[in-house]
Amino acid sequence: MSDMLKFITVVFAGLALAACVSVNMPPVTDAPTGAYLAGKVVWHDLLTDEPEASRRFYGELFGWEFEELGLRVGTFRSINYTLIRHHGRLIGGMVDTSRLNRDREVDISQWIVLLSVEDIDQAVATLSEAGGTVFTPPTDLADRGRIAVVADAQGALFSMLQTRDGDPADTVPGIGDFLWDELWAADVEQATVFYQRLANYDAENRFVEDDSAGDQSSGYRVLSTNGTPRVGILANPVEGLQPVWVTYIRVEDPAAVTAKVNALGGQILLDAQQRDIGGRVALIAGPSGEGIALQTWDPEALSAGD
Amino acid sequence: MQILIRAAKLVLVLCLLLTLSGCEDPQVYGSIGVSSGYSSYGGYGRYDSGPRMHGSITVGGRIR
Repeated sequence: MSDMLKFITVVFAGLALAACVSVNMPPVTDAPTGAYLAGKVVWHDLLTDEPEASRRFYGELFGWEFEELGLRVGTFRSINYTLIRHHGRLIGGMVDTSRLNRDREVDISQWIVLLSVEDIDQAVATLSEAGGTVFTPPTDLADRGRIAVVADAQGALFSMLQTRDGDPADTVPGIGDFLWDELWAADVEQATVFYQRLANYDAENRFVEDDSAGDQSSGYRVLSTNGTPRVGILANPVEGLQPVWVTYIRVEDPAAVTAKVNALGGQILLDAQQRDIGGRVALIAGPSGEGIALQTWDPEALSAGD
Repeated sequence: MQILIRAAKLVLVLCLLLTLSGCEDPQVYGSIGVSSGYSSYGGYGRYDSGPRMHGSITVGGRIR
């Protein structure tokens, strides 16, 4: 056997030995139900170019804990993913966008909602037919399931996840937990139809139309599945802002939170103010520029008045 | 001595392969911004004077 042949043999043997198993992302819940709740937001990922500042920001404001995944890829690189826990419960993940192989000129800092789907291949096909954009086709994340990163027909970015072992059960969000998700859409009607194709939502108008939004307003649209409200759709209230999914965190006092935001590297985008239906709301941005809303929420009081 | 040199070469090659190969980080968000159809929007942007609201978010948020 020539030296070259020996070398090639060694190379192929090495490749075979070095081939690693696929990355195994943990499931979105420690207690999967085994059932699919299509249309439910089952996870949130934070895309940030300031991971250390983001840890401090969300840790100080909401008591979140951050746990870097111990998985390694290749020999020396660790996986670019950090789990977020609240009181020990998994609630989301964080990705350092500076480590993504992408155009650094494009700022993609934001919170991404992951909508549950029962069949991700079918959901992606439906999304494409409805005019959506597929950035990442269905990708296997082992224990977590299969994910696709997409945008709706109006350009709002989100992900779809077909969990492997089922979705987390519906629970009452506590203080510091994710409370709600709503789409700020350019066209509420069109967005409603689009998402109904993905998840068979029932749509319902909740409020009197907001006259200040002019023709764009169709009131506040709540999309539900099996009687459970899942997400909302609102005429985009920010001039020049591309349609976007907005995530809410339940807080006791938005003003108390916003008082700490600047010192932690964030910004107050909208001071705490009264909600039309009761309670208070505020809008802030984290250290990487990602927006997130704060809301008080008393399920008993709201149910009584609903 | 020759055996030792060969073994050292083998170890070197394997280390090189382990460094270069292995599974890739599943960068599911890596394609955002380089694919067509997505603009340079970055969250809410870094407004100097806050968002220019022409509607209201006080109608939004969770109800029940």
